[in-house]
Amino acid sequence: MPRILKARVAVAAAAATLAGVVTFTAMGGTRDPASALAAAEAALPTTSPTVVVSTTNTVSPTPSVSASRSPNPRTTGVLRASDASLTAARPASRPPTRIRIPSLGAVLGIDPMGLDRDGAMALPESPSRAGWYRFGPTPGEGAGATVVAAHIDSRAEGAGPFAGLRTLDKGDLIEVVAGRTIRYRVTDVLRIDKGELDLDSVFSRTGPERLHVVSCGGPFNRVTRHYEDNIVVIAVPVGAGSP
Amino acid sequence: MITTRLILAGALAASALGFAAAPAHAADDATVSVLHGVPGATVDVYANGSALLTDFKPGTLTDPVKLPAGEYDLKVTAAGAGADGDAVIEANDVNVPGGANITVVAHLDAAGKPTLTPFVNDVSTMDAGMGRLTVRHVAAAPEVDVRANGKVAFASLANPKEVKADLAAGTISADVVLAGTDTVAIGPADVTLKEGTNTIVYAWGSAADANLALAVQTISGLHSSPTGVPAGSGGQADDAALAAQMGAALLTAMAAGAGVLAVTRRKATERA
Repeated sequence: MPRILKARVAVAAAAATLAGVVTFTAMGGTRDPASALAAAEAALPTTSPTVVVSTTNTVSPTPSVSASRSPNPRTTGVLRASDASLTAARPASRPPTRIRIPSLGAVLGIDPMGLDRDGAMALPESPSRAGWYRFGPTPGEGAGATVVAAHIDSRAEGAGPFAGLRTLDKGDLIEVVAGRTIRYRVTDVLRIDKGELDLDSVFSRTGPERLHVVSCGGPFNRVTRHYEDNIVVIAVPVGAGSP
Repeated sequence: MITTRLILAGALAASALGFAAAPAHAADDATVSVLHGVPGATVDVYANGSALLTDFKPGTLTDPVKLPAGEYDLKVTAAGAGADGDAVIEANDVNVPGGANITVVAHLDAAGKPTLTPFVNDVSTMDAGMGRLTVRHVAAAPEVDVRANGKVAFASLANPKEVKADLAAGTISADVVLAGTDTVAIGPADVTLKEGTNTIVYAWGSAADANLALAVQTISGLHSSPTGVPAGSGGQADDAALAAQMGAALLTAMAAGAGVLAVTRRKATERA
């Protein structure tokens, strides 16, 4: 059954491409993919573009101190300080070990992955295993995108479970096990030309906590042996407001 | 369920995902943290006569605060002494440059006298997979070598200087020895160099009072993204391949159907 389902989707997509029509079917409204990735990140305000000093205390009200040597500078609050010793307690974070996508019948073990020789995300060789970008946030860390990716296929094994990613619908369930099980709902399924994909958005570590499930798709270039597009599925934790 | 929920993206220019522009005055502000590295003294800190910090304990680090660029008179008093209390440390006309990320450290100088040193933190972007290690000598102690996993990483570091390097992210066992010797002054301790983060280690305290220690400050958000997600090399899930398979399947089915019809007709003919 899944095979025929994929074939139908492929034919529809191929037909749309042949017709020269860019077919846009919005899942959550009229948002285009660019703003789908960005909106998820922009939902939370950030005070400073990139720099965060990590401490164990919450940020206290900002004191107002004037740079001039006026006689009566006003202070609206006082800073708080926290333990800076090397052994100060840091919150534990559990890496993801398994991903389940029930509507695809897909269950994959997850390995923590870093970078390959070209500085791209490294992936397990088999399409039946997924990789988690280990330098980004873990599930449940509270902010940013947890990135889980797998090969859509390989020469040795053929198409794998993530070949069905693009058939996911908004609202589909995805579960990630990281110690406990975290449940997500799909909000967007995107297919984006690799040359145009904003990797900073895919691998963003700020903004609302979310899951990015990534693979390849679109036309396959038989000379370079690469797919032209990436498939990016965006999902938010169950209970989170929709972006 | 047949679905065409494949969203075909048009041009996805990076500029379309530009971050909201920062307010105009933000560029003039500096980001300032304060580290208390003077052993034994709980203090209050004043900037231009206003209390910035009260009941500040040794070995603690403030959250960062935005301050307008300019010159500040800084004063450290014993806790509760008031703005006009005796200064434990005083530094006037301390320059805080706009846009800089700074840690002001209250510490003992090499001779053991309390002083204030502002350090500028390197918040430039680093390559993916890397962490930045910064080490600052703010202890009443002689020159030291900083060792990572037993090997000297930085040699002859003196109070109040710093050294830094971008290294592969990971955990190192770090210690501090008297320069040119194997005499351990601090450590060893596991220091995690988190990817995309400037991990700033301070050697503080007093050798004479045997309370030398390490403090750490981390500044995140300095990472780069991977250059791509190359997730397929088989070609079996290609659009055209699947369409071709679909087409081939149809042809096969039609041929099989035609064969069945032909057989049936022949049988009918033979019967007749």
